[in-house]
Amino acid sequence: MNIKKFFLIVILFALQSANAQMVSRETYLKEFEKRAAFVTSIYDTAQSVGYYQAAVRYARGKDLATADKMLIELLRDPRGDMFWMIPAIGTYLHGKDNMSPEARAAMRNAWKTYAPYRGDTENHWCMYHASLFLAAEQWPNLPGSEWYNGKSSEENLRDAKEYLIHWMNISTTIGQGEFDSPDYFPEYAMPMILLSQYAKDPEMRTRGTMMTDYIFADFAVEHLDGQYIGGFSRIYQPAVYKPLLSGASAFAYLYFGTGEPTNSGWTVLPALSNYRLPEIIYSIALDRSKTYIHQERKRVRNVIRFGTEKNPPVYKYSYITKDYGIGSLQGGILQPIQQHTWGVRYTYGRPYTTIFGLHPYWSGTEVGMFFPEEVKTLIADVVASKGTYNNPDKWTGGSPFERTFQHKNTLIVLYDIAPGTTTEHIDGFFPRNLEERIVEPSGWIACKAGDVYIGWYPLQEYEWKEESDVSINTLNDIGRPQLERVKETGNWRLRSHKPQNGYVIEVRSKDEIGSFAQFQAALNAHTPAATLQPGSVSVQYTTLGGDKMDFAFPEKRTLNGNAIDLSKTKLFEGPFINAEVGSEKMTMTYKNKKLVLDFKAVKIIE
Amino acid sequence: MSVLNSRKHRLGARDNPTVGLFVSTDGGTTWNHKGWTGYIRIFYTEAGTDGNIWSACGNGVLRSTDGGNSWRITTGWQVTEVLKIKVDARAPGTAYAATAYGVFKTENGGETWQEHNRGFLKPFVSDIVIDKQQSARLLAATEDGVYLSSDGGTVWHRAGIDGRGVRTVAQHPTIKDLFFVGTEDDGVFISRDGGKNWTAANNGLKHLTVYSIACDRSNPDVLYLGTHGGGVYRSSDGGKSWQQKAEGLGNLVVHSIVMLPSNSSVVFAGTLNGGIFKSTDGGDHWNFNSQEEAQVWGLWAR
Repeated sequence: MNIKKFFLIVILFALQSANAQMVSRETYLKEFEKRAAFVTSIYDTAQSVGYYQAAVRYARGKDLATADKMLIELLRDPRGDMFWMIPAIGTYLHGKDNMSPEARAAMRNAWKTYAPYRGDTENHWCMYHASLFLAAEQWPNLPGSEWYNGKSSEENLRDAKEYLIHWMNISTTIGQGEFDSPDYFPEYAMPMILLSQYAKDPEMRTRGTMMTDYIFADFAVEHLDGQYIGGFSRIYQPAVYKPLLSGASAFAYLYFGTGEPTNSGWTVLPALSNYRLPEIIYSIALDRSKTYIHQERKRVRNVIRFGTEKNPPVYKYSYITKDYGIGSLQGGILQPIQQHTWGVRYTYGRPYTTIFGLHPYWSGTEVGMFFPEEVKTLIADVVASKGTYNNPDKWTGGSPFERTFQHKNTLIVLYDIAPGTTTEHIDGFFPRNLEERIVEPSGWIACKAGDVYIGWYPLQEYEWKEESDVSINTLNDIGRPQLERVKETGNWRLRSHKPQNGYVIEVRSKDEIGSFAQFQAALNAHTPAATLQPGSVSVQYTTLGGDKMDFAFPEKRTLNGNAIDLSKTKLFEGPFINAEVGSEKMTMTYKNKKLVLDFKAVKIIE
Repeated sequence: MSVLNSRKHRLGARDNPTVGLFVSTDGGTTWNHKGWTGYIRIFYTEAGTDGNIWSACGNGVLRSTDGGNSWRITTGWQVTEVLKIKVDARAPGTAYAATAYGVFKTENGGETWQEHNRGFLKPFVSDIVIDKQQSARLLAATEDGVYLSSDGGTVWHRAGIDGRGVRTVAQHPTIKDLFFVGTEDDGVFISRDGGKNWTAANNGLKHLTVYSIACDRSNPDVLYLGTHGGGVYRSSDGGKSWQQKAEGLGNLVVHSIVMLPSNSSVVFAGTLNGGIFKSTDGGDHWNFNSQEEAQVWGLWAR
């Protein structure tokens, strides 16, 4: 080995070590405290009336008279159901020692007189029961007449605990139902963090900590630069095309120190809490020195009709590098309304750090699978709160006519859209800040986003449409997103009107393939062959890496001649996190560290 | 009479006065709100012969023993999305909850509930009727046709209309073997043998989504349907033919329909998003009654 080569190896090793090197626990904790102080900083002086404004004042012992006044005013007319319960009990738990007797009495009275709706989905039930559990612990031995629901403290405690354990059991055996949701991550993190600190029942306190660790680990392994990577159960516009606007990204800032600083209300109670992320989890979140494949199995949330299985499996596949991640679900209706089946996300060019595609589908049957109201009026009900649901230009949602097949950083997506479907076109999102978006003679669309290159091969003719405006989220008075349209030109929509359709996606980084020109050349040397007839949609393709992928809609996936059996997918499988289906046990590994969450034994084993 | 409505209110929203249970004791002239003011997604309410009031809600089964002034959620977390609650007239401590997750039964006034789904291929049950002749005999409206149980819901058997979504089931008040069902897309079916055999009865019925059925106690041939898109239909010949009765109905999605027991020419129609309409001439003419823009999922009268 010559001296030059030796030094190069040393330098490369040093660089890799630097990438992988985690800060000390002490430094992390100090930095966390700074971020927590930033998150809460505007709330202790804000004059607008809100639970978080009161909670921060109480927790800091600052301006208590204002906190009392705010709380009493808020509790005069509680509204918001489980979205009230969490901030209300969180404010009480963080602040009761500094509350006036009048404020404490107002809080107690609210739990007697205001009947919150329990909700119709997993995040609702999780928030509802965690809050009720904590409230029942705070006010024990009260008869049913002292609670809004007519149940005694002990009955409420028992019922809430039973649900929470049930939810933990199914989540750790067949997967979370509202899984990997950039916008619903807070709805799980907040109640679990409150349990971890304030549950008096030692089992529930431990379970709260374990479940917080669990959902953070689930996020960490698919995290890149503040963004959630992969397919998602639920996401709102605009976080789907501006990933850092999601609630999960606010948590990434607070707990991983990534993304962008935010005072998001979602993170106020967590910032006040004593829960601290285990070192192994933020190490997994931050170390992108090695490229890896991570697979997961989740479950569809409860299918109440138009199906044969209550919780069909969801299969996830993610490929993550230091520069980008590409991830996918297998396709089909896996969640109502807000599914994100696949996407590429990268570290270049905030805020539009993504490319993805979809079939913008909606139907009464889809929502009727998950909601019990009348199928023929459900769409209007859904649109009342999820305004884009029946918009043919929407950027979220799954489709029964969409399927994917991913292998490493190559993805094939196929569509066989039945005649008469609400929309018979497919769309692709190309952000305005791409450095290049070149249509090659071969048909490939070669895109450059900094050092990340994305190739998109449409299987059918298409057109480009410039987006004249986009939806943005603002928050309503209980912190829920509401859509507004704003003028923001320059993003591009690829639209194809052919119902038998599809595309191939290739993603590479400069480190992986060299220059953009080399990427273009590689793409042009690899074009797919497709059959696109009603009832017979398939593609054969050899990836840039030389693997042969055969994919026939809907479920025939073959890699290098071997059939892919998705049903063998484990709950978690990858270099950092592993869990067997049915195990109730997650094992995290990072270098020489190991952390096991054993829900059967209710133990955290380091 | 009770009227209940829900859902115009959006989850987490601030204002909607037309949420919850409303009761009228003067034939629908005035209505008073009873019980919870929050959004609990109340689908249906009826009273037992012992005076207890039961509500089917998103939050489970609620029961009031003091005329609706205070309520208790009698069910646990397992019982959710309750679409109907039916109380046994002979044994008012026994009630059946029809839910998106199947049937749940109590035999002790709601102190405990048991799941009763044995036999269902698909457990989405939107309605139940307790046979007035035999309390243990039940018919259930499911996503997959009509099911029948002869043992108080312990075991269910297919009873017809297989594979079709059945939204509601009713028994004639005076002709005890006569049952009706309303379906999602296939109109009305009638059984004249206690639910064993069913025949389509859609002559004149142009709107085949039927959410509710009401029978005139004083005239056994008079029936009413609440439909999606067609408002109210009436039959004067026991279901052999139907006539649309929508004059004055400001909303044609009728989810609930009921007659005043004391005067069957007074009919109330509860609409989805249009509130309550009232007719005093057996459905020939309708006038808006109350609950503007409300989703009136259920109506019940005694």
